[in-house]
Amino acid sequence: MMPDTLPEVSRMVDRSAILAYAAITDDYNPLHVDEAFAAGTPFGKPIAHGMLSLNLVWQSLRRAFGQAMPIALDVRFVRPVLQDTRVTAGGHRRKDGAYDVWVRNGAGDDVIIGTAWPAGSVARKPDQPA
Amino acid sequence: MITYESFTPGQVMGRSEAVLDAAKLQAWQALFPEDDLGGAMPHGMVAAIAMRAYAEVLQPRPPGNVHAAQHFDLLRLPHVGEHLTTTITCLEKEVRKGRFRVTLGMDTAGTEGPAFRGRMTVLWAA
Repeated sequence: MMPDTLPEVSRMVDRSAILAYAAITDDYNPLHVDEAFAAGTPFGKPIAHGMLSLNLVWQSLRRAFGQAMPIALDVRFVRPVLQDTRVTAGGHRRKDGAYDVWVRNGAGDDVIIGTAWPAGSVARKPDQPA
Repeated sequence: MITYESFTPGQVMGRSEAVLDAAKLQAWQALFPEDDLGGAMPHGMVAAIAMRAYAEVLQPRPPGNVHAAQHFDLLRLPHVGEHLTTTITCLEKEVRKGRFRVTLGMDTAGTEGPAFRGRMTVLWAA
């Protein structure tokens, strides 16, 4: 039985989390880690790696479906996650069986939106042949 | 410096080798404590493998690239100790609203066969 909603998962994205993620991924883009560089951008402060917040979607999917494979996820990073932002991920089942997924900031704005196709989903991914 | 002009759709940009060792898993679990799957790679670490490959293969890069979109197909979760090879290919490039968009394909396979695929769209800064 596929759930209608995915469990919500939250975390604070602070500087220590951003620096830890940079070290794990070897992604030291100054937008993420250089506060002086970031101060000169339209964001005004560092923004988190998009995939740091995306991990909350993976956690939400795993809470719902365990380690069932295969699983596919397609997302767009629609707003930056500024350093020191609390983000929450979740999702809900669509009529076609796929899941709309999202990550929202503390103001409730979407920062990541997308679609997940868990194992057993009846939905057909767009790149799959009819 | 790899600029927008450097990319040719269809071109293999390079390969990255990595071992999913215990230290990597521990670093990940320190940041995401619930991601302890008993030696299996947590789902979100596909991003770490992909981003390390991106950082290794596509360098030097201009500062200020922005990650715009991402697709992942997870076929299986590799296990600790598995050797992974990620091949990065330029799938497409375009100028949209005055910004350089580059889409990269990432295919990761291990000693037990294909593990996951990715498609990453980056707003290239220069």
